Amino acid sequence: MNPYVEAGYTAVSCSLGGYAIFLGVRSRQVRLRLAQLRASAQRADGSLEDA
Amino acid sequence: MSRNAKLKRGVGITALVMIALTFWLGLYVTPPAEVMGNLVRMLYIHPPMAWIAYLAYGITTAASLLYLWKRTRRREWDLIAAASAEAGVFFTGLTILTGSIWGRPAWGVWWTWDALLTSTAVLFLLYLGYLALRQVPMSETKRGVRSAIAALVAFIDVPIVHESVYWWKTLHQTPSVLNPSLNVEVHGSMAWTLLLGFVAFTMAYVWMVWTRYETSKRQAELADLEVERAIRERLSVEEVSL
Repeated sequence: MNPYVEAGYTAVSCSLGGYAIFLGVRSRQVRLRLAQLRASAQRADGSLEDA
Repeated sequence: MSRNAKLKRGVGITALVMIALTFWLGLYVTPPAEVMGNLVRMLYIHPPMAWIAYLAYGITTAASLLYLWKRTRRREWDLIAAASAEAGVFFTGLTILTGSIWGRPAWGVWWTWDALLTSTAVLFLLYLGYLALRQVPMSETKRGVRSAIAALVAFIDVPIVHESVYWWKTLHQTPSVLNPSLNVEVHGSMAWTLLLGFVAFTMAYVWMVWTRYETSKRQAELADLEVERAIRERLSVEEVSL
């Protein structure tokens, strides 16, 4: 196989894979942080109601 | 898992399978070209990248217009514009990279200040600027309006990139698929593989924009919640001090 073709396909595969992993990890981080904040907001609302 | 999440996962998996199939067909099944030999295999990845970049900037422009028009102004349009521009920058980068890898054996140079290459580099920089503008701290509406205007200005370069091969004498050949006469200059298994490449990378683009949009929406919600929490903490501190 032509080395330039190999380099091209490798570059595209690595870039697509890397960007997809970045998007997945970032999405998960934000989802977890949002869940944490929502839970703490609910706890704060609950303690206000109790008071 | 919600229906939306399942659908998005389906799009992602389909994109992955189709890209793998494109690579397999492109590398092992399709024949080498008469003149270009095995180098023709770059055809299955390079034009789809350029097509996605055009598509992404088109979506960014449409969403920016919808955001600028006050009757349709919604946070969602601004977030879609940003998500699509990010994918556009990613695919423009890959277009330049794969073009450069193809250019070295075909033209003897990695890069030349050819009209098409230069206007593509300008396009890349314009949308990088758009993404940088979005990072400048300002109110959400102000940021949305300013970046929408920037997106509209940047889009002027898209037809220049596409038409540059006709307007100026360039090293780059005229488009084999997206030409004015719509005369596809590729045939047989090569044409099917190229078509599959277009669909596969479009699916990947849809998955990327969808994921990025959802994350941005959650980030905006997160910012709202953090402001609320800060206000609540401030109020409780004031109550204690009183």
